[in-house]
Order: sequence, then C-alpha cells, then structure tokens
Amino acid sequence: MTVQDIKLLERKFQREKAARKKAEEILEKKSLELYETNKELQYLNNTLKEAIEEKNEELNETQTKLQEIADTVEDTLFNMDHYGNIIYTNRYATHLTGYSYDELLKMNCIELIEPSMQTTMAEKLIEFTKSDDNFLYLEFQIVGKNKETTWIGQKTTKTKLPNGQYKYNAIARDISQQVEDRERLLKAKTLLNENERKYREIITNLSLGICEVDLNYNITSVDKNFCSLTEYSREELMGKHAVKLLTDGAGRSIIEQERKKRKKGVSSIYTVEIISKSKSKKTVIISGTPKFDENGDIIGSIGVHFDITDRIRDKQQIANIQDELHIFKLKYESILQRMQLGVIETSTEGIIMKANEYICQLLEYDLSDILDKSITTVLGENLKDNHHLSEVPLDQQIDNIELKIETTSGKNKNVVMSMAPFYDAELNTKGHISVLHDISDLKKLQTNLKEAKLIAESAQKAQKQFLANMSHEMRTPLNAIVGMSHLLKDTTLNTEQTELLEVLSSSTSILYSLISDILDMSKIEAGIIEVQSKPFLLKKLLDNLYKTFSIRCKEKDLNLKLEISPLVHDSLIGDELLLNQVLINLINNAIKFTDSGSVEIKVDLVKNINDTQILQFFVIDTGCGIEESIQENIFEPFQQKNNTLSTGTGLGLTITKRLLEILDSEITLTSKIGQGSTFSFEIQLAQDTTTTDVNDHVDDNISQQFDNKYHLHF
Amino acid sequence: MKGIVFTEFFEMVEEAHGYETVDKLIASCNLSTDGIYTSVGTYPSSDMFELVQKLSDQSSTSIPDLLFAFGGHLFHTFTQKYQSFFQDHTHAFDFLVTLHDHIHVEVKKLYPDAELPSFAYQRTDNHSMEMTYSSERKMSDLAHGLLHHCLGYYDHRFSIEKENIVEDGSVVLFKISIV
Repeated sequence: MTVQDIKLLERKFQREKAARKKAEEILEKKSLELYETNKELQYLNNTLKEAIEEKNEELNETQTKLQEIADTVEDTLFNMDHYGNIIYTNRYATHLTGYSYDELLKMNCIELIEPSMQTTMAEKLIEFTKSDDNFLYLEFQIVGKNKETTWIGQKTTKTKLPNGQYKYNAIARDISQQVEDRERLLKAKTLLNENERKYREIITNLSLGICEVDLNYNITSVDKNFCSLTEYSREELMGKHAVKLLTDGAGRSIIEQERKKRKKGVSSIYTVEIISKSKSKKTVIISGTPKFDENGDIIGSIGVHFDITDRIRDKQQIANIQDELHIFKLKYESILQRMQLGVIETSTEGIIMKANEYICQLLEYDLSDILDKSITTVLGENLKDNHHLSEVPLDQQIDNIELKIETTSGKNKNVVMSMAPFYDAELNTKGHISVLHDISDLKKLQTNLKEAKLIAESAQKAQKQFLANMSHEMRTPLNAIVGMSHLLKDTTLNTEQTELLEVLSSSTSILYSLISDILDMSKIEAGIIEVQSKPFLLKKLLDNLYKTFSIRCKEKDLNLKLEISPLVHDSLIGDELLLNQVLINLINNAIKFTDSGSVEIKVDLVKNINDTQILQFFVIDTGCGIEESIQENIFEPFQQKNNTLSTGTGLGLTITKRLLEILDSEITLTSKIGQGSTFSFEIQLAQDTTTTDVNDHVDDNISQQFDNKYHLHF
Repeated sequence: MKGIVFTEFFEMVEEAHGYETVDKLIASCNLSTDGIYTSVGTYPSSDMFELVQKLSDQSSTSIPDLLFAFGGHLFHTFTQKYQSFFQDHTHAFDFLVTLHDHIHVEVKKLYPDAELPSFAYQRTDNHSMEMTYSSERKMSDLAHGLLHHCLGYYDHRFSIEKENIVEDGSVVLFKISIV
C-alpha cells in the first residue's frame, strides 16, 4: 500500500466520519423533533379523551331529553335493524299497538302489518335499502294486539353502519281519520261528478242556460243554451261582465245579494230581466250557486238560467182572462140578483140549481124552499092555466110565453117566461136558464092607458064640437048683424043715423075679428089644427094677396110691392091655407102700423134640397118700428106695439108664430124705431112635379075673406 | 436535493472507477460541503450539477449519457430499498401511473423539503403511453434512465422516444411503446 493509497483512505475515512457525524446530527435533531411531537401528541390525546367524555355526557343528556320528547309525542318513533327487527321504540308505540315495550322489542316490524299488505311493504323496504334515497313514506294498516286495525303513515330514514348494514329510523302516525276522510271525500267526489254529469244532462235537456263567473262577475264559462238565450256567441260572452246582460236595477241588486250569499256560501234564486243582443227583454229565473276550488275557497258562481218569458206572458194572459171572468161573474151575479127579473137555473132534469132573490120575492118563497125541486113542480103549483109549460119539452128554447100564476099568498101575477139551454165546454147541454118577468104592473098600466085614451079622445071630440058649435053659433048672429047693417045702409038715413050705423058697423067688424082671433087661438091651443099637404100655385096665392091688400094700401096712400125670385118654383105642395093666413096676418099688421111709405112682400129661394125648396118670405114695412125692449115679447099673447087693445085682440102675431111653429118654421123680426120692421120666416115646400090644373079653391077661399082676414076651417 | 442522490452518485462512480476518481472529483469541485453528504440530508442542486459537469470532463462521457447511466443505477438502488412499491405490479405502466400520485406523495410525507419532478400521463392501452416530465432542474435524461430500467425490470420489450416540449428541457415528452 502506497502512501498515496493510505492518504486516499484517510480522506475517505475522514469524509465518512464527517458524513456520519452530520447524519447523527440530523438524526438527533429529528429524534428531538419526534420527541417534542410525541409529547404534544400525548397531550392532545389526553385532552381528546376529556373532550370525548364531556361530549359523551352531553350526548347522554341529549339522548335522555330526546327520549322524553320521543315518549311524549303522539307519534310512534322506532328504530329497526338491517332486518326490520325493532330495536327501539317510544312509549306511544305501546299505546298504538297494544303490545308492551318488551313484546315490541322481540318483533319484526313486518309482523305488525296487516297480513295482506305484508309482502308489498317488505318489498318496498328492501327496495328502499338498495336505493340511494334516504327517505321513504308508506301508508299501511297495522293489526294491534287486540286485533284492531289502524291506518299508519310511516316516514323512514336509513343510516349506514360501519359494518355496511343499515339501521332504520321511523316515525309512524295514526292516519285512520285522514284515510277515512280521504275515502269519504273520494266517494263524495265520485258522487258529485256523477251528479254533476246527471244534472248537466238534465239542464241541457231542460234548456237551462249555464253561465259561470269569477269573483268579479266576469264570465268564465257558458253553455250552448246560455248563448241562445242571450243571442251572443261564446266568444262574445267570455270575459264579459255578466251584470251587463241584466237591466240596470236588477244587476245592482243581484251583486248586492250575491255578495252576501257568497259569504255564507249558499245558493240563491232571483227572477230578473236580461237584455239579449237584439235588445229584447227576457224574464229569467237565475239560480246562483257559489263555485269552490279544491281547497273549499269560493272562486266564483255558477248561474243556472231558466227563461220564463213565455210562461209569464201566458200566465199574465191567463190571469187577465181570469180577472175578466171574475169581474164578469161578479157583474153577472150582481145583475142577476138585483135586476127586476126572476132567474132560475135548472139542471137537464129540470131541477132548480140556482135562483135569484127576485124570483123568491115574486113567488113568495124562501130560496131553500125551491132549491133542488123540479121547476115544473115549483111553477106548476102556482099555475092556473099551466098548459104552456107542461107541453114544452125542457131541452128546447122557449121564447116569451105569458103565464098567469098565483103566489103563495094568493096574489095573481102575470109573468113572461123565456127559457134557454146552456152548455159546457164540450157543447153538451148542462141545464137551462129561465127568466121570468113580472108584467102584472104593465098589464095594469096597459088597461089604465086604454081607459085614459078613450077619455082623451072623447074630450077632444067634445072640444072640437064645442069650437065648431061656437064658430057657427057666434058667427050666425054676427053675420046677421053685419047683413042687417048693410041693409040698413041702403035705407034713407039722416046724418046722425048714418054716423051711428058707421059706429055699429065698425064695432061689429072689431067684434068679428076678436071672435075669430080667439077661436083661432083656441084651436091652436087645443092642438087640433092638422097640416095639409096639397099642391098649390104660390104665385097665384101671392097675386091674390096683392090684389086684396092693394085697395087698403091705396086708402092709406101706401105703396104695396110684391117681389118673387125667379128661382122659386111655382107649383108646390104644402099647406096653402096656413101659409096664406100667416102672410095675411103679417101684411095686415104691416099696413096697420105704417102711415107712409111702403109695404113689401118678398120671396127668395134659400136652397134646393132634392125635390124641395127652402123659401124665405119677407114682409117689410116702413112704419113706426118696434122698440127693442118689446121685440122679445111681441109674439107673446096680448102684447101689442103700443100696449093698447084698441086696434085688435093682440093675438095676431102670437097666432102667426104658433102657426109657423106648426109648419116647422120660426118667425124672426128686425126692426128700428122710426124706420120700419121686417118679419121673415123660412119654410120648406115640396115641388109639385106632376102637372096639375090650377086649383081654384085657394082663390075661392081668399075671396071669401072677410075684412081681409082668413079664418081657419076644420 | 436529497442527500441520497449524492451518496448514490458517489457510490456509482466508486463502483465504476474506484474511490480515487471520487476523491479526484471532489477535490476538483468547489462543493458547498467539501464532499461530505449523508443520505438523510438535503443539499444544493448546484453541487450535483458541478459534480456531473466535472465527471463528464474527466471521463470524456457526455452529461446525458452520464445522467442516463445514473438513472439506471438509481433505479437498481430503488428496487433494492423500496421493494414493496414494485412488487404489487406486473406491468410497467401500472407502476408508472402510481409514481406521481402515490410514490411522490409518500416521499413528500417523509421529506417535506424534497423537490420532485411532476409527471402527466396519457395511457392509450397496455402497449402505448405518453408521459410528460416537468422540472426546473431539467434532468430528463436521469428520468429517461429510470424509465428505461423500469421497463426492463418488468421484462417488457419496448421503445422510448424522447422529445423536448420546451427547448431548455424543462418539459419533456416520453412516448413509450411496448411490443
């Protein structure tokens, strides 16, 4: 070995030694660190132990508390091992199952389950074990120690134990009441659905309109019937405010009522008018029912609508007819009861069913005496000569037969009886109505009238006779006086005698006139003047008058005028005599009261009516005139212009007026003091279309006038 | 850098060339410990780089070859010392994938100050796998040597392609194919 080798080895050794020392240093340092760490670890270990003990104590306390809670809750809490064996349960479990705590701890949870459900529940538990879920809810029935079954709702959770097995924690609750409620609810729902389906069908068939609204009365559903009721389409109705379909007042009132009803959740019925799309009003019965959701909260209403417009109209019409009938019946009955006619209603067999008061009074019976008796018996007892009634078949109509009857008290009565059948709705004879009219008083009156007529007739005859006699008896001596006076004039008389004769003559003339007027008046008053209707010639009549009065006018230096309208027909038919006398009286009067001027006779045509002419006659004078105050009374008897009787009886104008009245005419007067008077009248005369010869008798009559006066003849 | 790397490095050199070369190498370097290393200590990496550089100069062997050989030596040492890590596997890939997530984690527990390379794996099947090496110390050749001997240890017939992902060798991809 060389020195070099030795040195090399030496260096190696030195290095190894240094490395060993370094390593020792490091290891020593590490050991120290390890020691420190160990010490720390030991300390930690000790405190951990304490902490664990403390936590254990806490845990025990908590467990005790939990146990207490578990025992007091009304749920069954229990734990099961991996195989479903009960390893813990709270006190309530014993209450629920009837088994003691010790008994339960020997049981498997499946044993408690109702046998038919055991398999299913076991399968579900196994499935739960395998699944990732940590929560299982099951509902099943358990059978208690006393064999009573209880519905259980059980929540189960699982905990995995270090050995890979599971431990189950379960909370079981008695849900019998809930299950029962649920089943009842289900049954009720099924029934409800069934009913709803049934009612909907009924409603559809009944043409009931259905409309559903929400809480704000906006339409949410309608059926076909409701659409046809309102005449709107479904689209138009959806969302529409239902109240807008009603008349204003009805809408407000319904909302008010519906609000109250909804609060109570009860149905309600309204009768309202709705307005359809075509604005026609319809009367509708609405049955409103609150609508509920699943939670029982009201979410709106369902309205069932029944259109009763037609029914109401029909009902109204029937009511009106019934009212009318009732009024008619009342009226009819009241008339029947009060009228002075006896009314008897009989059945087809002639039995009296009804009778009014009057018939009872007439026959002097009480109503109860005659009801239900045969009419022939009742009337027959009272009939003397009753052959009429027995001969008449009762199913026929009898018109006004006259019967003589004797009342219960023996009074004789004359009655007129009518009988007519009445019918039921099928036009079968239901009975007869007989009407009896008591004509006893009428009969008496008739007799009295006949007597009165005879008396009147004989009285009239006597009066006529008297007047005829009077005119003859008075005129004969007067005519003798007049005739003698004329004869006396022809003798030789001295002046004094002549003067006396003049007085006598004029007095006679006045007397004659007076008698004539009085007789005329008497005749008029007696009403025995008869209007003649015979053909005559008007022109001739007037010409004669003109001739007659022209002499007297000449004496008084008066101008007499006659003017006839050319339109006036000449041949006429009427009472020439009366017309003549009226004109004579008026002309006479005019001449009498006119001292100068003229007297004018004028005839105008007023108008033609078919074959008749209405003519107006005027007698116009220029005399003294009549004061207005007197004009009204001038036609009354014994009224004269100057209130003196010196110039006449004062009956002239009265007679004229009365004569014109007989001719259906009226006299009118217009007059002014100092200027004259105009008397006029209108008279209707028929035209004589037949060509006849001029009748001369008028002329003759007029020629026979005495002192220009015409006298009536009978 | 862990002391074992230095002690095994000197061991390899002594085995191959005798202590004289080790002594010479230590003397030629300016080492922070004067050449005194224990396997339980931790030393600057720069000491190792200097030793490798000087050895390469003195032995006329390239640094990659030197490191590749050192990988083989180290793997042999590991199989001796840490038998249990290897015996559980029959396929090299099965062992390799435990390296980063398992073995290095255990190493870190024992030596919290150890600075270890990281590996990412892409294993297609039992015949091909890609491993990505990442380390600031850029000693992928050492890793190459380790890989090579590992595959040999499991009796595979294989080929390894090495490719620099980053130019400086800090990230390197190994494509391993087993026939």
